[in-house]
Amino acid sequence: MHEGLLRRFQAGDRAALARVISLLEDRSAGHAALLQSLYPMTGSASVIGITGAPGVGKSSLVAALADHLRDDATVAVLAIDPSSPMTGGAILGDRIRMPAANSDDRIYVRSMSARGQQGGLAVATGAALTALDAFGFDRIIIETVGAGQSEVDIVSAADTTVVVTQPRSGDHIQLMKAGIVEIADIFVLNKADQPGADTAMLDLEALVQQRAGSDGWTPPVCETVATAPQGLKRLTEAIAAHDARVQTDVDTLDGARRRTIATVGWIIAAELAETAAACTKRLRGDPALVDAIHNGDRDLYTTAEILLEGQEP
Amino acid sequence: MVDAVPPPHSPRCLIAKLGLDGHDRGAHVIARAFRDAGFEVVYSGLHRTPDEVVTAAVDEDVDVLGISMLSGAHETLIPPVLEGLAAVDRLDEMLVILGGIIPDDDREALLASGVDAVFGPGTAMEETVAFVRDELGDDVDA
Repeated sequence: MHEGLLRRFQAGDRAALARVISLLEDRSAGHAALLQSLYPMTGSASVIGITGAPGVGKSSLVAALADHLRDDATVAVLAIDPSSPMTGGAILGDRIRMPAANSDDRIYVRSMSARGQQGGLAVATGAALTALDAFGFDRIIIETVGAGQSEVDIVSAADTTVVVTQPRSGDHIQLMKAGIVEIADIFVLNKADQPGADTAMLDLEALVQQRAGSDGWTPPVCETVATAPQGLKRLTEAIAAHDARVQTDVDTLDGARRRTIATVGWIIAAELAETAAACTKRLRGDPALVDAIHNGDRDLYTTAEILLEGQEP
Repeated sequence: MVDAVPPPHSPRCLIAKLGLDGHDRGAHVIARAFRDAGFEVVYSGLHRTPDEVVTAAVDEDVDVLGISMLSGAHETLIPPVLEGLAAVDRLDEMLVILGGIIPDDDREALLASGVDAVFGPGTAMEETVAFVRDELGDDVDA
């Protein structure tokens, strides 16, 4: 049903790409067939994940990185921001930091709401990556939601995950905790011109030395000043080194295969969420049934099973 | 958790500032109001050119383009935005709304050239939100 759109997509029409991503994100009619026709066109992009706490400079770093890569590659950015738990609305503010996005035909930026998804990515991340890869971008940069300590879904989508920190964001105990510091293939200390940068570098260096050797990869620590920009050459070299390792290391699943697995998982998650929403909607429309459960005449699990199987409760 | 499942299609909006206009309080207010209405809102930042706004609106595939103008340059800066959207066949289906200081005498020409609505000072947020919902109708579910 989207043949015309697909033709324009394959001819390199960015408006068609933008529409394809929306259709996939909204799970509009025909989205599954659309994703299926895009999937065989994928496989050529490498994906860089950028994560870190709110305000450390992820968007500015992504802008500087895209600008640094664009001479040798076409670059797509998928920038994810959180949605309101109250209204579902979202302010997608990453684009403001990426002025080149609006004027450089080698850089495409797409903002995306997490739409209630925890973990730092959106449910539609896999589908959007498929579209961007199929469109022919050489490099895709994902910017996660501002991450606290446990938003680690990015590892399932990226060839190389970069964890961005800034000076004065806590002592070395913070770095000992589980979660986001464990997923870094590369650490970036951004705002490295700010007071406290020396101490922060020492803490990060100590951290990666402790981790060294556990999986044959010691995460490099790169200092950057995204707004200058400074430190981008070293960072892109570190990313290239890690990408190459992922490609050749037989013990590590390559990025494309990890994305395939994650995308299947996201498809299932979206289907299940839709089913759950439909079941609770049915329950809301049947006050007598709610009363029956409430009074103990029916039990929770049996009712859930019946609703799930689509039977008359 | 189940109730947090989003509607199939929240309206996607770009709030944009054009040219040498540094007053963005209004743009921030409408961006927040749209967010609170359940819309997904991209903000362009200040000092964008018409071409940049067209690129952002097309690349983000927005349903609504809201432009805040307080500089008096609407007669210069709005037509190239409309022409740019028309050139890529996106003007008809995109809702283009203007806010800020637009003299009454200029409104008709803007509306005739493809702007869908002009909201002046004092417009209630609810009115703008309701207009967007009505215009997008069945296309959105927010």
